[in-house]
Order: sequence, then structure tokens, then C-alpha cells
Amino acid sequence: MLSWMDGTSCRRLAATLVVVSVCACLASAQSPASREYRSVDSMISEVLAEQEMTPAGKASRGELLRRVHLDLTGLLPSVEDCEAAESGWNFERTVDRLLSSPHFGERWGQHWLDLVVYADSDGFAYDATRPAAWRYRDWVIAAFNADMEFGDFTFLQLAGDLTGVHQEAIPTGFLRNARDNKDGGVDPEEARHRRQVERVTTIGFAWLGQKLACAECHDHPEESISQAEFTQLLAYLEPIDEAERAVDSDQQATLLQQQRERHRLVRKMADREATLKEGFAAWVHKRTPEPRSPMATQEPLRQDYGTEDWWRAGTAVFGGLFTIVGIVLRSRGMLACAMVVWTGAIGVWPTFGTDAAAASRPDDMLGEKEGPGSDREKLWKEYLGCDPQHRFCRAEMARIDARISTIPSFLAVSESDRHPIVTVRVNGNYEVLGERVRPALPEVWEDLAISPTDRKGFAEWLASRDNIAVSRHFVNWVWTRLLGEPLSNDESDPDARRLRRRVLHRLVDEFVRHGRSPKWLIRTIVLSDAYQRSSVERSSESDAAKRRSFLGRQNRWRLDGEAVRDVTLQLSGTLLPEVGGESVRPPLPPGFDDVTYETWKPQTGALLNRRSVYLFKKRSLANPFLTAFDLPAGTEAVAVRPETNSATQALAGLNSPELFDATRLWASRIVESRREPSARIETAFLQLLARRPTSAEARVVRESLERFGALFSVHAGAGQGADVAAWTGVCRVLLNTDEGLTRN
Amino acid sequence: MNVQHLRRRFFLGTASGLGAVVAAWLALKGQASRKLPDEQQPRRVAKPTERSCIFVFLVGGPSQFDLYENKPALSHRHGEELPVSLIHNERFSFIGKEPKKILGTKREFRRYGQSGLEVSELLPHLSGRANQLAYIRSLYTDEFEHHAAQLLMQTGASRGRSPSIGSWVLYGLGQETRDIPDYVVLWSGESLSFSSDLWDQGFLPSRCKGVLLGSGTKLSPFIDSPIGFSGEVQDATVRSVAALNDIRYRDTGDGRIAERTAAYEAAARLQLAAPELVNTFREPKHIIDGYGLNDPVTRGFGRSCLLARRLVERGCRFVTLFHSNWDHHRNVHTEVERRAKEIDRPLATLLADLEATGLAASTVVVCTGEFGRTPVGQNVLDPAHLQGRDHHRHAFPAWLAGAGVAAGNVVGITDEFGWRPVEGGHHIRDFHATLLALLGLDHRALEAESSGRPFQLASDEAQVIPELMA
Repeated sequence: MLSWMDGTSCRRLAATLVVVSVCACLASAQSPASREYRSVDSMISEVLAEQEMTPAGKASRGELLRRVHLDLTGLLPSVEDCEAAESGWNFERTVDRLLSSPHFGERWGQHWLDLVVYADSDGFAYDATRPAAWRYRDWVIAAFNADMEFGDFTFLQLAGDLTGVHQEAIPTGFLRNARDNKDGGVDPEEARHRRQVERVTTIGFAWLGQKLACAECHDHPEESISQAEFTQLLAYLEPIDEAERAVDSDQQATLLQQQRERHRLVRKMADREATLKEGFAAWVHKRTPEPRSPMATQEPLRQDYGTEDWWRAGTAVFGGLFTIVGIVLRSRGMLACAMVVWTGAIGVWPTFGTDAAAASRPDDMLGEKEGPGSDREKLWKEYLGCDPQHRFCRAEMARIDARISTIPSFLAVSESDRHPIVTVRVNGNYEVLGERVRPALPEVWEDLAISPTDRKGFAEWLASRDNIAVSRHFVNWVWTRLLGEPLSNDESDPDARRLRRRVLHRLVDEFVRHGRSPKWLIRTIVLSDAYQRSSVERSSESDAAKRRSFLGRQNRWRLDGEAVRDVTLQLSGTLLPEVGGESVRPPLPPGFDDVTYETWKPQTGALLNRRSVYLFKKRSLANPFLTAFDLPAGTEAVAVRPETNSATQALAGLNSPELFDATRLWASRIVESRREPSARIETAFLQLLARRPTSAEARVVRESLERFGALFSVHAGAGQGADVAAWTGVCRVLLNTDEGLTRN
Repeated sequence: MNVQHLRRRFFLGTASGLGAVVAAWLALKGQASRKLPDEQQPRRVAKPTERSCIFVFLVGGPSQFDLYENKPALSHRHGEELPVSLIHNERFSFIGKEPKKILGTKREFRRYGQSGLEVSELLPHLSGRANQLAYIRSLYTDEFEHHAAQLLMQTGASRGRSPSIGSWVLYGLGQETRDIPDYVVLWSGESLSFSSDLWDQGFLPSRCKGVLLGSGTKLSPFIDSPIGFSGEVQDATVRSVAALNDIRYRDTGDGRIAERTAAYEAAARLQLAAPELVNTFREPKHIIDGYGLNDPVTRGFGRSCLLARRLVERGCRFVTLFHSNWDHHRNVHTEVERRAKEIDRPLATLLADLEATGLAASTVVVCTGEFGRTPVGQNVLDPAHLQGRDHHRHAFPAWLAGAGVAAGNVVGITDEFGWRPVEGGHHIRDFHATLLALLGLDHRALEAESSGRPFQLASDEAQVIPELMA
């Protein structure tokens, strides 16, 4: 209690004063941002001093270079970068170069997409694709690259459609990420309710770091908001309208013209149908014999007649009661439709494909019904199909529909006139209705003098500069992405928690003061000593010391599957640098798509060498390689992916055909560029690990090179082919080492 | 049961430490790939405490009224409306406002075995194993849509990413095998509507995740080394990775490095074991014929059954067989017949084979769907001509066989229309609790933390169904 009198406190006080004064200077003088990280550092040194910790030393240049490249762009530094770093070190310039790289947005966009559960398909069993979803993904990447103010970034995703600028609705694709259950028999209103619940849960998690999933169903003692309050949040989103798609503003004229064309065709077809209808009636009449004796005299029909039974029944039991008037053959020479006349009624018996069981039973044909689905209707469709003029119109229509579907568009929401009143679902059970509530903020969030009544207001509240909780969560998330541990960690001891929070609060204050620029924040953290420390764990430390001293060292973690794939493609020299565009469907292992409704149509060619963030994300058909590396399932928001080790993952790393092809290319590049084995080994290490091998490592590599050489010479003989084969073996080893797969 | 649980906890606690990881790694290192039992050798008879489970999941909701549930009232009152009192406020998936008319079955039923279990003519082989089955008529579930109901049956929760029952079992029983996955998912029948969240490990360790064995013969999409890189080359690769990791481990002292090396060695062993596992050519002829591998109708499901037996024989803990499609809104009479033909003989052979090899003493077999089907018929186009049955959640059956099961017992009574249980009704959480109990686990003790809160497969209020247990 009296400790402020002792020396430590005095030093601390002095340090704080320095920090405050430095900050004040920065704020007033608009001096270059490059100096601000110092305040973070002094805060952290203070914390470490208080806990009597010695921070770890600085990471080596190579380690740091690789770390910052992977963290900011998800790619490796080049050999030139490594060599330049050895001769002259300008970390600040490197960081600025990486921050302005278009790959920065790809890397951080990917992290954000995890948080908002982005995917290119609906989810659930049917899991239809969403061809325009990628527009939102591209917007996120562009927003990070443009260093969009975090408030704008927030507001546009929740209410971009309400700004009056058509294209600003693209970011509301965020609200369209919710999974959509289109399975047969699902109540559309209930499915919508589930989407709304997912939206609110995702907003709570992505912007406030709160798991609201429990509050959906009941008042949870450990949850900060009640079920009624959760439903109040749903009410903000209640009026949203989810159109099939929105067409870009510069495409509206094209769309209108095509729609006009389509309308003209519809009219033309209607006219033709009216003419044909008369002919059809006469045609049917001519082929209908007089009604015969009533069915009652016949053996009762069984309900489970199959194809065979039906034919037998036709000839043996009811012989003479019906006549076949025509057989229409469809493509592939398969009997598609037999038209029969049965005691005066017309029956159509479609047997598409070979699925006899799907055919109508004979007794379905007994009544001459009208209306959709009736036999007469089916017969009419067949009749129409025989008319060349009508067929021409239909083909034309299909062409126009195809053209309309390719007009650039995106997924967005708009505001409908639905009343923003939502009913509480008791215990989360959709069928049990509780009280009806209007939009309002939960009590614990009402710290600002704003009480929004609609979605726009809610978005403004969330995006507000004064909403410190939102900024705090974002800063903490960015920090975790760069240092591997959050600044606010509820499970640590109270002392450490208090100290960490102090660092967090200071960082948040400065983030807000600097116009909530994400790039400023990332730059500040990356340039701090804390970021640049070594990640090597000292085994002499006790477990408790390790836990508390996290501010004094870096963490190491395994690369995500996207980075593993991108890095391998980068080394092969085939990675495409283009940013943005439609999602790419790589080939999948044979039989892999058997469990889904839609067949996976893989693409071919150079497109496949795009960065992993552009890989098509189908929820029910997650990329097997990425899945082995802990790709989230696309069902809920993920702030930081889990890191696992498994045999399946090892198999993916070793045997993925895509990665193997890239590895071989990398090997042939190494073989072509250098002659000496030692020079080759050095190049490989510099390219993958941004450092030179130790003598022990070089020895292991030389040994395995010889072993591979011996194994392959049996087949390949000597020469460059054998060289490349042996080197493919070595490159495959290096890529699968712990360091190759780890961001250190 | 509690002892099991505590032992598990203790194991988890120590294994997370660096020392344990390194020790485990060293123990694995140098250990030759275990030779698997050959068909000619005597089969391993498992100790009763080492239990495995084969969960046969008939996807889509099979029609109990055409397979097991003999309800004469349905045939007598075919075409009449079901009493309104039963269906007041009932929500259906497809049946709308039309009159709810009773749909009779075309099937003959007979009594089999000492219990006199009624089975329809559609399951002529399985009915011969009636003495091995414990049958419950009266399960009910909360959900009547496929995905939600499948999740509820397979994970105990109809939403979110909860651990599947196989993951819970693995978590509870610990790792058994080192060469093959401990939890395997096989599927057969139509390509269809289920997704990997039915065998997900949720918040449990990732080793508890089910490994999907595709329609082909692959244990994992990456089981094959690139051409020219298998055998000795793969071996040399994994050795070199381990050697470089060793150096790195000495420099950094990070235990995860040893863990990674162990994963690579496990991968290499898995690659060696996989071809033998899926190679069924050396099985005797009566086995090949019994599982119906030579008949195109039974081949798919028969192969799943045979692989399931081979997996549990090699120590695999949990095998889920998905078979689809049993969602018969149309042509229920012909379609159920078709599907029943696909599963009947292989299932009977599986039960007989487990018995003959002694594996039945350590293996629990269960068979059910995500829900049952309605006693009322439906016809989407024409309500006058009932063709199929809708989803039904209030009463549906399951059967169990094998280790610890009260073979020959029949549990529960439903009303004359099979609409709801009259006696012995059990929510499927009771079914989960029973299954865990059969595998030596206590559903109240088997819990794991996620987001600081404890979670269980079956909540505390779940009750083991004593009549199903010997």
C-alpha cells in the first residue's frame, strides 16, 4: 500500500509520465507514426519489471523477416530479402512495404472471414452454392488493403445498403453469410429465424467477443445478456430482406434490356400456347375411345405396381382396356414417356431414367385431372414440346436466362417494411412462443447515450468511435493474431490480468486517437519489442513463469493450411499474384463429393494456382487438405483456429497431389539454379526458412539426399532427372519439418 | 464406471505435459508396425472391458410400420382419418392441411425367437437373429427435420458443433489402436444428405474426430504416397523429418515438435496398415457370400459391414455405418422393400460373424434412424392416393445387439396407431446414456469443458434404459 514510496514505483511513475508526455506530443504534433510503438514497449517493460521478469532476447533477423512476412502477407520473404537483411537491416521499411502489399489484405481478410463465417454455399444438407458470395470476400480484402477506418468497416457490413449508394450494399454480404436451410420440408420462416439468430450471434462474437449462443434459448447465469435481450437484438434485423441477388449499378441497364426481351418472349409464347390449345383438345379427343365398363368389375389395383407389373396388368388383367397412342422418345434413346388412353381417361407414364419405382402407379391415371402435376398437364407439356415455334421460344428464353444469370451481381440485404417486432422463442423452441419485443440494446451495452431503434441506428452504435468495447475487442483480436495470446485473458491470475488490461487499454486509446486505422495498429504492434522477441522457450522457466511472462516473448504456432499451400506454391514459382475474383474449385480426391447433392465441377489450368483465400468454400465439402490443417467447419465464428497435430494432417502434408506437384517444381528450380549440393541446400533453407542451415542440419539433408539418390537411381538412372527426384524428396522433407510448418 | 472416467481424466492431465509427450513419442519410435491378424490365424478374442461399437444409422428415417411395427389397426382402418386428438397442433414436414389418412402396410409380420419379436417379411435374414436383439419400440426425439434430427441422434444436440457420440466414446475410453483410426465412418447407398458435422469432435481433442472412409477403399484422401515415393522412400522421408525435428527440438525445447514427429510416424504406420485393412480378398467364401459382396444389391452395405467387423477386430473403438436413403415420402411400399433388401442379409451376417468370432462379447451393435415415419400417408400431388409417409418423431424403434445387451428383450408399447408411446417411452438421450453404459461409460461423469462450461452427450436427467442391458 505504501509501495509508491519505494524505488520501483518511482521508476514506474517516471516511466508513465514519459509515456503520457510522448503520447501528448504525438497527438498534437502529428509526428510520424513510427514512434508510437515505443509507448507500448514502455508499458510492457513496466509490466515485466513489476513481475520481475526478464524478457526474451530479440529474434534473429531471418526469423523476424520470415515472421513478419507470414504475419502480414501469408507468404515467405525472397532469398534477396534475406540477403538484404543480412547486409543492412531496416525493419521499419520492410514492415511498410508489406503493409502496402496487396497480399496484406488477402491475409487479414482471410482472418476476418473466419470471424464472420464466410462461405460460398448455403450449408446444411442441401448446401446450394452462392455464386455471388465472393463479392463480399473481395470487399473485405480491399477494405483491409485500403486501411478502411474500423468504424466505416463496421457500419457498412451491417447497414451499407442504407447509405443511399447502391454499391455500398456489397459489404452487407456479411449478413448473407448465415447458413440457409433449404432442405425439403423446412418451414421457411423458421429457417429465416435461424439465420437471424446466427447473424446476431456472429455480430456479438465478431465485434464484441461475446458468445451469445446460450442466450438464444434461455437466461444463462454466466451470460451477460438475457434471452429477451437477445431477441431484442434479433428485432433490429427483423425487417431485412434477402433478395436472390443484387445487380451492380453499372449493369442495371443491361439487366433491364434483357428483362424486356424476356417479357416479350413470354408474351409470344403465351400467344402460341393459346393457338395450340385448340389443336391439343382436338388431338386428345380424336385419340380417346368411348368409355368402357366401370373398373369395379376388375381385380382391385395394388398400390405397389412396379414397371413389370404394370405392363402385365395392361395386357393380362385389363387386356383391351387401354391402347397406347404414342411413345415419345427422349434423348439417350431411353423410353421417357408413354401416353396411354385408359377407359377414356388419359394417362401419362413418365419413366425418366431407369428408376421404375418413381413412375406413377396405374391408378393415378384414372382421373382426368387438370392443373399442375396432373397427367393431362404432363401430356400438354409433351404436346408443346413437339411444336417447333414453341421450342424455339423456349431455347431463346433459356439463352436470355443464362445471360441474366451472368450479369455481375452480389449478395446483399435491403430494408423491407416488416415490423421490427420479434417473439421470444421459449427455451429456443421455435414452436413455443413467448413475449413480443421491440429492437433495443441489452442493458449491459447501454453505456453510450444512444438508444438505436432500427438497424441503421444499431450499426451506428456499433461503429461509433465512443463504443470502446468494440475497439477493445478488435485491438485484442489483432494482438492475438500477432503474438499468439490475447491481452485480455480471463483465466490468468488477477495480477497479470490487471497488467495486461492496462496495456490493452492504452493501446485502445491510441488506436482510437489514430482514427482507428487497422494498419496503424498492426504497424505499431509489429514494430514493438514485444513482437520482435524470440519465440524460443527457455526450458529453465517454470510453467507458471512461462504463463505469466507471455508479454516478454513471442509465441510460435503452426501455419494454417492456406499458408502451407500458398507457401509451397510460392516456392514452386507458380503462385498467381492476382488479387480478387471468383472462387476457384480445385480437383478433389475421387469419390470425395459422393456425399453431397451437387456434383463438384473442378476447374483446370493455371487458375488453380491462385491463393488459398480464393478457394471455393463449400460448407458440406470442405477442402480435405485445409480441413486436415484445422479449417473451421463454416458453422460458427472462429477468432483463432485450433492448432492440432494428427496423422491425417501428416498424410495431407506428405501426400497431397497438389502440394507434391508444387514441391517437384520447387526442387527443379533449386537444381537448375545451383550446381553445388551445399549451395543448393543453402538456397532451399533460405527460401523456406529464411536462414542458412546449421552444420548438423546440412549433414542430415546431405544424408537424406544420398539416400533418395540411391533409391531413385534404380529407376531414373543418373543425370538431372535423378537429381530432381532426389531433391523433390528433400524439399518434401523440409516442407514437412516442424520449422517448415511453423511461424516462429 | 466412475473409475473409468477418473482414469481418463488422469491420463488427459498427464499427457498434456511435455514429458509425457516426449515419453509417448519415444515409446512409439522404433516400434515396428504391429502385424495384423491374418485370416488363417485364430481370431483375437477381446476382453469384455475393451468394448467397441458399430452404429448402423439408417439415414432419412426408415418406416417402422413396414419393418418391425405390426399395427393391425393401420391396415383395418386404411384410408380413414387418424383421430384428431392425436394430431392436434402437430407440425409435419410435408403433410399440409389435407385430411390425415391412415396408410396401411402391405407387409406380413411373424413372430421370431424366444421373445416373439415381430419382424416383417422384408427382413427374412435379420429375423433369424431375433434372439440376439434387444428391441425398443418407444424412442422419441425433439426434431422432425432431417439435419437437426440427425445431429440430435449423432451428437445429442440439434444445433451447433457438438461432439458426436463416437467422439465422446473415444474421449471416454482413450486411444486403443495406433495403426488405424479409432473412429471410422463408412457410408453406403445413395449419395445423400448428411454432412461431416455428424462425426465431428466439436470441442473435444481433434484425435476424437471420425475418419470418413469414402465410397471407395481409401482410409483417407491422402493415404497414398505420390507415385515413386511410397515404401522405402516414404520411410526415409519420415526419418529425415524426424531427424531435422530432433535438432529443432534441442534448439527450442518445444514439446509440440515431438508431438508433430509422432503424428508423422503414425501417418506412416497408417499407410502400411490401410491396404491390409481394406483388402477383403482373403476372407473365406462363406463370409464374402454372407455379406453379399457378390450381389450388386447388397454389395455396398455389405462391404461397410465387413469393414466394420475388420475394424473392430483390429481394435477400432467406434464405427458408424451410414446407409441411405430411407426418406420415403413417395412409393414407401416399393422403396422400403428395395432398401431392406440392401441391408437385411449383410446385417444378419454381421451379427452371426461377430458371434462366431467371439467379437460379440466386446462389440455393441445398434441400428436406428434419426426418427420414424408417420402412420398416416402422404401424397404431395394427390391426397387421395397415399404413396408415402412423412417424418415422425414421437415414437420410433431401435435395436441393439452384442456385448452387455439384454438379448431377446422388447421394450415399450405404443398406441394402436404407433403414434406415441403408451408405456416405456424414452427420449433418445436415454438411448445415448444406455449406449455409453454398454461401453462402460457413465453419461453423468463423461463431460468436457468448452468456453468454461461443462458439456455432456446426455444430460444428467437422462436415464439408462435397464431393460436393454443384460
